[in-house]
Amino acid sequence: MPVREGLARLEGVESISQRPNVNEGTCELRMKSGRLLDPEILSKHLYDIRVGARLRGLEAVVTGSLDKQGQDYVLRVAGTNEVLRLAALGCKVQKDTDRKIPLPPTKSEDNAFRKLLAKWKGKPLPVQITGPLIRIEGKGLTLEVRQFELKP
Amino acid sequence: MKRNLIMKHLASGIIALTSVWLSCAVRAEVRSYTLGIDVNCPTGLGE
Repeated sequence: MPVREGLARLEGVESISQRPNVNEGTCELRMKSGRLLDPEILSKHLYDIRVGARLRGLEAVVTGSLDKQGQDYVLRVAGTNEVLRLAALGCKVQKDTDRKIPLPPTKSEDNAFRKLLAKWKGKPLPVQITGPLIRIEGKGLTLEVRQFELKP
Repeated sequence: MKRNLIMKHLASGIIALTSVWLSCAVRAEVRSYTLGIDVNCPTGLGE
């Protein structure tokens, strides 16, 4: 079974890009109603369908509001009760498939989290954040900030 | 007669407002995902 067909079997998938990005070893996916996807569930799904594929990472484009919760900066996903802890970019999901290493972050991507925090003025700030979505033991879902765009 | 007309317009307004509210409620907040996938098969992710 092809990878694309296997991914389409995941509950709630709306669409998958027709062609993968073979240079970066990625493909695009959309969930119905903008549902939040747990990287662990996706990883398990890919393993379970036995297509010889493994999830290296999951990047999400999420809209919500920047807020602070205790010591952590968080993104409150608009229209839901979901709260994603925010962090600086660690490792990119995109890969240099020729050299078989993750693509190195650009200078702008390296500084994105710091620049976002500089915008924080003590009240919720509407923003769209793009970055790897990871689950950290004991801390829940964390969204690493690779890019952001302030929303009006 | 006039009262019926007003009620009809009011009902249409409520339906329109409800539709807007519902469309906002299901608005996509996670726009898209990029999946980084490593494949073992020779045909790769191209399949």
